[in-house]
Amino acid sequence: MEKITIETLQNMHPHDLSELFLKWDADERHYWMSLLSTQQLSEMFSYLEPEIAVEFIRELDHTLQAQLIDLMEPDDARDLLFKMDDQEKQEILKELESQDKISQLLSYDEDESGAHMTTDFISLTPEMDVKTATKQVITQANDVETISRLFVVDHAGHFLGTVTLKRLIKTKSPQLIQAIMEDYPHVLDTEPIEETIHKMRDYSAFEMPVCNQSKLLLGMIMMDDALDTYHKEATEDYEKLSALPEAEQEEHFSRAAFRRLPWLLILLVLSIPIAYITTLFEEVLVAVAVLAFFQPLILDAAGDVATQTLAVTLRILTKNPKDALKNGGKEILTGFLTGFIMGVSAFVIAYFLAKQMNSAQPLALAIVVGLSLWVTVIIAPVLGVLIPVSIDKLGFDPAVASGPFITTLADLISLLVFFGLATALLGGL
Amino acid sequence: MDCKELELLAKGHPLDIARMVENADADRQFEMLNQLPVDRLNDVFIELSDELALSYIHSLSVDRKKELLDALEMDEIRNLLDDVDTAEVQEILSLLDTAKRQKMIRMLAYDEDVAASIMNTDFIVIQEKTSITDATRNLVKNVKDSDFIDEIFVIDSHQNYVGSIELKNLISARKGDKLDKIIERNQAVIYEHDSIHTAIKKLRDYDYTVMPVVNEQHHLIGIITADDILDTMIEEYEEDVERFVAVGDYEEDSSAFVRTKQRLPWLLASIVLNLVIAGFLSFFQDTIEQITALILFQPMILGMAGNIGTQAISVTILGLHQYKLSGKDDVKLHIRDEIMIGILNSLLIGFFGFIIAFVFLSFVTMGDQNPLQLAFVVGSSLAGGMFISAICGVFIPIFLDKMNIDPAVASGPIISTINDLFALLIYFAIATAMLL
Repeated sequence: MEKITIETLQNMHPHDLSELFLKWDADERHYWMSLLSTQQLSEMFSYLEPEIAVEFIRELDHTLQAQLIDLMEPDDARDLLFKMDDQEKQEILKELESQDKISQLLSYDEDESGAHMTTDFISLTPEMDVKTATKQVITQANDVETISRLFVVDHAGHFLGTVTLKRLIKTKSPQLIQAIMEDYPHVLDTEPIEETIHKMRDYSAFEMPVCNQSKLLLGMIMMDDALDTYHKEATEDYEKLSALPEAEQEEHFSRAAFRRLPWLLILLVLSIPIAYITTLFEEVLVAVAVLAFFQPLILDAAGDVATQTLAVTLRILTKNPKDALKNGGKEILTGFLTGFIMGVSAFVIAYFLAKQMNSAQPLALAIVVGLSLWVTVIIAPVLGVLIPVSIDKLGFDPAVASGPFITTLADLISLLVFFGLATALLGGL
Repeated sequence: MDCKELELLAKGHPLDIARMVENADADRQFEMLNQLPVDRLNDVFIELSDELALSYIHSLSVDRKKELLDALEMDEIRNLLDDVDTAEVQEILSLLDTAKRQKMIRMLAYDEDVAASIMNTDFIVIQEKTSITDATRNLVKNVKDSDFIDEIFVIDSHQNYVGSIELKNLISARKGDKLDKIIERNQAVIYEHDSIHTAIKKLRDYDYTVMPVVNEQHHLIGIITADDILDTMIEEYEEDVERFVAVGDYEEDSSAFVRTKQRLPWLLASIVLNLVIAGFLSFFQDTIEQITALILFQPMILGMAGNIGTQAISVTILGLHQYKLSGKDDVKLHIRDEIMIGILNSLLIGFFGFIIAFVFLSFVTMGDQNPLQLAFVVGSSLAGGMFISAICGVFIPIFLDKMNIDPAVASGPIISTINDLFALLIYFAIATAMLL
């Protein structure tokens, strides 16, 4: 191992330090931690995953714990405390200077914007002269993360607008803040964080003010936190769409395999009702056994179309949920159109295929295939809209159960349609 | 124009103004935009839809066009140039001042997936030896509206990049302080030819809001800001999902016809493939006619092969996109792990499938098959089909990535249909061998 000196560590970015920290054994950690300043340690812990940081912080004595957490930015401190059990949390909170701020953040759910805000900001009032305002900015600059945009509130603390620092330093006194203030969007503390992130993207906002119902300014969401949160959420959503458990970093393959197993088992069990339904159509299946060869076609089409609508609906739900149903209407119409073309193409090919298989009624068989395809592709988007929207209404995360659940349901319904039509058109053999 | 509109134009956020203009009658749109002073027009302009932005810029006089272009940031002009034809590119380039034009021509040469393609050139640079007072004075005097000022960048007398200063530290520094004391020197930089993924990862890891871009001589040539990175991240994620389910370039407001047109090719391809499979399988016509009960477990086998395949594909794509699989060893390790996971889970699910099928067949019968034998066929085909699908799920994205094709293509319906073919071939082959 290359030689590390305390100077290299002191000059390191806390992110790099945190990666090094994870590679050390207990003795090395103990040794280096005693040499680093509390400030550096605190920054390094903010860069670790909260669940990992908690493990290490637990080993420290109470005073140091409180010191470290007090030095963190409130939102990082919140993430850390969030991972502790209630008793532990209360004990540490008691010791903190920033107790009030952090308890406030802890009162929000993980997916609410309030949980991710920083409560340190500079606020100006509209009646201030630009000179007084500039002075205030200079004295408070070190307590906040950024000063390029300053927030204007009335005396009760209601959010009114913002002033950019550029504008402030270019304006000559006497001039009131009121005159150089501009409108600026804000979000509610209870608004889902994903919606807030999309708003920040739309407005290219490096910081987004967070207010409560009565427009009292509570804090702001910073761009760097938004990036982190977005990355986490997007990866999670992608994993959920493909029935993957949340990824852990660098684990042994047997553990990874074991964690993916539950979903696979659930899906395996869910396929039993499909097998059962199939037995109900024994008569027609015995008579026209080649139906089996067309079954994958119907199942695939239903599943593909349902997941397409699902993906589209999930995106709308994170951006502007009100439009989900309107968009659903378009999806169903899309299903109607695509289904028709798909059905006709399948009909033509299936006809020749059936003839080649020496089927007794090639025309009827082709009609059954084409028609069920069409009907299925109309029904599939209905599931792709209604299921995530209702899960969302019930207050659960629509991305969780939707993917596998919808494909199974789509399979069931499409088989009913397929075998049902087959019985009606071919069953009288 | 009513009061509300005028107020919004005067004080509103650029995005809100742009939304109002988009919704206004066609004959009033330009009139509204013309009301805006140039230093606000630029911010509104970039929020307009491509269509409206282009027709508006065409309507402007040469002088006003020039003013507007001067006020736009480099990456915004680049975006505009992406949407116009070559003649117009030349026209717009000719309207830029010389310095900007040269920078722009250099920027246009960058590939879309190179970090430098989203860089900005509006920022403040100061010399290393400047005093704090001069630096502050310089900032107040020279700052332009479009400049990014959260951080100020420092170069030495040879134009080499030295470090950066946080604005808040500059503002709160005392007069006598040395500038040297507030320069942060150990910050990560992005190199001119780094990929966008590298930039995203660095910016996210280090929680920066801005990163400098330097060339091989370590000269500062631009900056990349967090808002552009967020934009790119969201676009990439959305593209991944779009590819994942093959919906084409999805837009919320596209009509059902557009959606149909975008999705049909993949779906039709999947249908044709499926019917080709049906043709192949007709080889087993005798088998299915004698053992109709095989059809009961067909959806199970197809579904499970698909599920395990999707898991493997997604893990691989996420790894490739998040730059975790950059080295040769990483890739090897990933392939080994995924193959082991594939073997383990296929065997386990195959075993459970065998039990479930056996229990099921003991209660429900179709035809006169021996439940134990049929359940064994189901279990072993489950294991075989799932294993092949898991293997394809790891190798296909990595192969595509090597060929410089976006690996997300692998997750589309076509691959899942090919997996179907393998799974069913195994199923019917084992059934024919064991039961006939």
